Amino acid sequence: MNRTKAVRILITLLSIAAFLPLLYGLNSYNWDLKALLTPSYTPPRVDFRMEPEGLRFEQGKLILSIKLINLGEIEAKIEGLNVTLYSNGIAVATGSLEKPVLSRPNSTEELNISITSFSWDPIQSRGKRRGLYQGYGLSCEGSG
Amino acid sequence: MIDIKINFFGIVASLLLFYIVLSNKPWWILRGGEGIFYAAVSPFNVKIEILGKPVIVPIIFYLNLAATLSMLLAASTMLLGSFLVEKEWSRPMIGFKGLMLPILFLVGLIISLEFVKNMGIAVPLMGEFVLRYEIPIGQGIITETPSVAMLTSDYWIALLAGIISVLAWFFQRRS
Repeated sequence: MNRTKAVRILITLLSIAAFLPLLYGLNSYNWDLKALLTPSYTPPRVDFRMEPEGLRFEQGKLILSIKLINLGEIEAKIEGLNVTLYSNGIAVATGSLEKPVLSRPNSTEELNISITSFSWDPIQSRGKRRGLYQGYGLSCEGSG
Repeated sequence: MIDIKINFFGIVASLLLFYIVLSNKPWWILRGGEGIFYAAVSPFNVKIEILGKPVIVPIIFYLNLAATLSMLLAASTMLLGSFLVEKEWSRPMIGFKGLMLPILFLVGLIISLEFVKNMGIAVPLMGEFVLRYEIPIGQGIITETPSVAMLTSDYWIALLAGIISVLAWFFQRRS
């Protein structure tokens, strides 16, 4: 055997040996090709809790304050939030998020909802009368 | 004066091959949104993340290791053969592996993107695009994520190394 052929055979054997890790991997998985090819993925935990903190007046606006607790693993930016407030099943007010809020994992942030409109419809129910009032301001109900 | 004949192309190609194997930099990158999904792919290392969490395919580790060993062998034999130009038996040391790898990588990437396209996810090889995907929750949530895909400079360096290794092969044969 001449030297050129010997070098060629040696390089070929070494090239084949370079693929031994693949055989090792197949053996590690008991030659189960499906297990080797199946991707695995664990999504991040998404867990948010909201706790209303109450209403307050600020700079002439009625603000609904909500505590946002991020117990998950992802960071979320709440850019907009529209809410409707109900009383006895009737929509009485609407509001929207004042400014975007960034919620990082294991953090607590405050969502400030600006209440933008109130509305009541006049109704007559069992002798009680309620007044019609629209616009900003406190609601009031009179009965008689 | 000592007259030593060396294969300059072989030396340059082997040093470039050592760099692309040992630098561990990706050859192709796919990025969607801000941390929504990210893929950095090369024959020696594959990293895929969705929402910051890794996607693991077991066989990829072993394929990467095999590619790394194979390329290190090719670079080593090419470097050694470049200094033994006058020895006829050094000819098998200079080969085409350096060129085959970036070509096979590109072909494999195109095939993979076609496979993914048949699953309803259209991803180009290069360029900016909007990835549309429907999350199967309830009636379905349609997401649109601005994304970008590109071949990196390390891919082009690998291709250059492959072309220079072909020149090295011709030089070795002629010497």
